[in-house]
Formats: sequence, C-alpha cells, structure tokens
Amino acid sequence: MNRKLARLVGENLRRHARSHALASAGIVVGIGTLTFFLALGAGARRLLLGEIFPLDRLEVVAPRASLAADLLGRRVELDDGVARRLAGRPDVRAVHPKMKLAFPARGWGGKSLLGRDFAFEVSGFLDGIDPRLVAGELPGGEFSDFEADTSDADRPVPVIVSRHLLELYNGSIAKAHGWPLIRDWMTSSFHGVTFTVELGRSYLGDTSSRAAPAQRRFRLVGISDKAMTLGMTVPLGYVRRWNARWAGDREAREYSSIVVRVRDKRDATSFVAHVKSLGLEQAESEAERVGLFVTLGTLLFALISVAMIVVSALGVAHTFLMIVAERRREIGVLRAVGASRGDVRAIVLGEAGVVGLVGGVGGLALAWAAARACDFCAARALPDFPFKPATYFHFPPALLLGSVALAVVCALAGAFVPARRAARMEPAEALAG
Amino acid sequence: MSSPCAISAALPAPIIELQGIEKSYGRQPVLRGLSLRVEAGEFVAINGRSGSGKTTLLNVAGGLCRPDRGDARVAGFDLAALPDRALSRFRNQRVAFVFQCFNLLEPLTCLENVRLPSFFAAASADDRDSRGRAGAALTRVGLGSLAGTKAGALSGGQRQRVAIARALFTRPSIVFADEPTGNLDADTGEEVIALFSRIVAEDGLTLVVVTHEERVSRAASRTIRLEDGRIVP
Repeated sequence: MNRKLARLVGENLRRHARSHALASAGIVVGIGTLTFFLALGAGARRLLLGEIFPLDRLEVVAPRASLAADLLGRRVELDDGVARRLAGRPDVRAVHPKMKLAFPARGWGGKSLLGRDFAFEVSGFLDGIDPRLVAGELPGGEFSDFEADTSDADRPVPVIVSRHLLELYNGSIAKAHGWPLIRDWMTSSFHGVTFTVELGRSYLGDTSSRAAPAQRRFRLVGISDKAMTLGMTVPLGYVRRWNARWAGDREAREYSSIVVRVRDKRDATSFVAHVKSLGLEQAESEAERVGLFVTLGTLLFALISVAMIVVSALGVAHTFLMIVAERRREIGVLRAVGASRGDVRAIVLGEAGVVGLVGGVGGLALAWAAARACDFCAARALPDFPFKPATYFHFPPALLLGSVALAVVCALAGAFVPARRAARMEPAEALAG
Repeated sequence: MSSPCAISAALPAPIIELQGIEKSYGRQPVLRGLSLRVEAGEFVAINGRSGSGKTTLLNVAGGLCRPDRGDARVAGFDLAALPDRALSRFRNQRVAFVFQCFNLLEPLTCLENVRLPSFFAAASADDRDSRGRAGAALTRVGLGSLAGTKAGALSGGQRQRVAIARALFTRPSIVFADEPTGNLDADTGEEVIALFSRIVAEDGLTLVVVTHEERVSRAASRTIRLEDGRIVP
C-alpha cells in the first residue's frame, strides 16, 4: 500500500473512529484474555519446570534390586563406568553422580542460630557430589574434600543445602517455630553454622557393626540446586570413604543416582530411551506430569480465549459490513477515479489491519495490567510458601509478537468478506448509492 | 485489446463508438441495442426523460459498468475486453467524470480531492508535481485560494468546480458529466456551463453531458435524445 492510500486509510479511520474503536474493543478483550492465560501458563511452566521440576535435568537410577537379577548376574551398577558413558553423549551437558550415605548416622547442633541445639537423623538425608560441580557457585573453594588433604583433615566437613530446603524452612519450619527467616544467605547467620554428626550410630537404634562410631564437625557453606532436595550434601570423597569404612566396598563404589543435564529439553526423550537401552531407569519424574498439567490448563483457557477472539472477529466483520454499506457511494467515487478492486480491498483491509494492531497492543496492555494486578494481590493476600514467585506471569517476546499478529490476522479475517464485497461492487452500482 | 502506447500519439476518430449496446438491471432492460459515435473534440449533450437510459449510457461509455451485449470502443480501448485493473487504469487516465451530486470526499481538502486520481495512478507520480498540477487545476476553475479548505465546507457551486478541476487533473481525452448543473441554482449552473465550454475549447476535450436542461443542450455541439434505451432522431 502506497503512502497516498495510507492517507485515505488514516482519514477513514478518523472518520469512523467510534465504529473502529468498538471493533477494536472486542479484539482488546479477546487478545487480552488469551495473552493473560498464555502468560500465566508460561509463568507457571517457568516456575514449575524451570525451578521446581527442571525439565532438562534427569535423574538416572539403577533398577530396583531383585533376587532374580542378582542370581542371574544381570544387576546393573551405577559406577564410574556408567557415569563416563553418559557424560560422553553429545546431548549431555553434565553428569552429577550422587552417593548416599549407606549406614546409620545422626546429628545435633544449631544453638548459634536457634538458641538451642536440636537433634536430627542423618541417615537417608545426606549424600555426596563431586565438588567441581559447584565450583562456580560457592566462593573460595569452601566446598572441598579437606579430608583428602591430610594437612586440612581437621577442618569441618563442608555442607551445602538446596534452595528447596531453604524455602521449606522459611515457608513452614521457621514460621511454625518462630525461628528467624533466611533471606540473604551470605549475610545470614545461617551461613557458617556448625553442628556435629556421629557416623555409625542412629537415633533409630541402628548401629553399624563394621567400625566404631566416630564424630565429625559439619559446617554450612552454601546453597545450591545440586544439593540434595531434602537433606544435606557434602563432597563425594567423604561419603565414599565413610561408606567404605562403615558400609562396605560395594557401597563405596556404587552411586545412588546420576543426575544428568541435557543440552536441550528436547533431547530428554532420546536420552531417556538411551538410558533404558543400558538397562537403567529414569527416576520417577514429576516434571512430565506437571508439564502435562500446565499444558492442559493453558490449553483450556486458551480455547476459551480463542472463542472470544472468534466472536471479536465477527464483531469486526459486522462493523466493516456496516462501514462498507455506509461508504458505498464513496467507494464508487474511488472506483470512478481509477481505484481497482485490489485498491478498494487494500483500503478496507488496511483499516482492519490498523484496528487489529490497535486491538492487539491494547490487548497486551490489558493482559499486562491484569497480570500486574494479580501479582500485587497475590503478594498481599497469599501467605509465603516455598518458591513463592515475585510474578506468576511470563511475557516472552514471541508471545507479545504472536498476540499482536493474531489480533491483526483476526481483524483481517473479520474484514475479509466486507472487503471482498466492497471490491466487487461495480462503480456505477456503487455510485447509485 | 489496444495498448495505451499505441494510441498515445494521435487518438483515433471516432473517440467513442458504441455498437448494439444492451444493458439490463435485473429483468428491466435499460439500453436496447444502442449505437453511438462521438468524434474527438465534440461537446455532446444527451437528454431524455427519467429512466430513458442516459446515465447508463454514460456509465457504459465511461467504463463504470459493462454492457450485457454489444461493443464499446472508447479512446481506442475495447472496454468489454479489459480486465478490472486495465479498466481501472482506463478510468484513471483516459476519462473523467463530473456528477450531479459532486461526489467529493468531504473530509479531504480541495487539493486532495483534485489529486485523488493520482492516489491510484499506476506509475507513482512525483508528489510535488501532482500537487502542482492539482493546484493549477483549482486555479483554472477559480478556486486556487481554497486549496487547503475541506470539501465539506464549500458551497454547491464551489464543490462542482472542484469536481471539474478533478476531472481536468489527469488531462483525460473525454469528460463525462451527469447532470452537472442539476444541483445548482440558475446562475451557478450558467457559470459551470460557461466553464465547461471554455475548457472544451481550450483543451480540445471531448465532453459528453447528460442533462435535462435546455441551456446545456444549447451550449453543446450536438444533442442526442434517448427514449426507452434507444436513440431517437
């Protein structure tokens, strides 16, 4: 469309501002609703699958032990060989072998933070990972296997915890007991807290028979998403040595799981197939179920919104049919001075395009305002809970562009029949009014 | 189909040649085998009673509608054979219209109304040139000072002058006017007729005017009378 035709379109838009505004209003509501729900879905997906149940992180475990497998010698062990094979795949970004403490242990401490010592069970709630995996996250090499270096062997065992645990503490435990919240990890008194762990003895009455119990000082040095979700994590070397001493050689060799980060979420399916071909399994993942739930929820609301958009397209069609009927003579004049059918169609569709563009931008503004209002209300009204986000919405650029494009397409579709009707009028017939 | 280039140097005579034109609206025949020849430079008045087919004849000759049957060769073009885009270009470059009810776009200024055909010109004319020519056309009809005025703010006589300026803007071969004085008072109508006569004489245009008015017929070089869709002697 040339500049002169654009001038005519602009003039027509100005003249029929009220009708166009009404047509735009329908699109604003339809696109606003759709964008709102899609942004909510994207926000939920980002929170649930990005932080709580990451889609690109898979946990590989050995199949459950069975007598038959043991007798037939088909039991697959998660050892260094398997870890190397998985790490060698091109779709794998990193592997994080984990080894669980395989014998009884118990702990106590926390007086410096809570005002009194509290006791806790350690067995089942402690694992070990390679310190290199958190090298970039924790300052000054605090998370290191000091026991491996005999000169530092007396230093407390460094411990990291996950943000999940921190959220759980802040959202539930701290509130229930009136304990201080941990907001800023590094300046918090939580950082550097020490406690004692007695290896080889449990509050549940079990005692390892392989070696005499021994006490070690532990020190909290950081938080990381690579730490055990509900428990604590220490450098792998400690767990390996302790398992060898209190549990046995096999427990010191075999990993409890290997967390694998694939390069792309789309690689997950093929990677899981590979894992199964090795006789291994993927630990039960909530991510798929959560992802499906989020997708279905988003789809449901998107369908309702699409229905609204279809109604708004019908509104556009009605408005433009009226406008074309009203401008019948004027269309005749344009045809008389040389406008082709294509020119007339371009003028009507040009107006519809602007109506759609304005409706799309208005819809985005409406969705954004509604999202901010919901976030504001949620921040005020909802109690703190683990992973409570600052916003429940995510507006990626593709959503913004797609919404505006859909609004334009919807307006063009609505104006298609009126534009065709206007273009098909014979000039003489149109001039007759 | 004749190409516009083939007729650019010298227009063929007759400039309008209609042969056996038939046109109906629904079951109502309006033109019944009408034939007409108009030579280049003629000022032809067409009169007749209401419903006799005058406007339809003008519309067929001007390419505003297609005949049901018959040949219409105008300014070297076989109108029945032209596809929509070419017929639109024909209306844009070869002919122009002046209507009884002016048919200006009221929200646009006089200048914009006059240069409206350039909005649809195939070759994008230089904007400044187009404005200059539109301004000159307005000056020619005595409205140079009202170039920036919205058409909706003009009197009937002024509107018709703007419509004439628009018709002259593209330097057409033929101007078709349908009751150009029908909505004007007697004095203003006289002025418009005088303006038409002067322009036809100066530019050598062919002018075909549908009219009820005797004074317009008197100014014409030839008068054709229509009855029941046929030309009567």
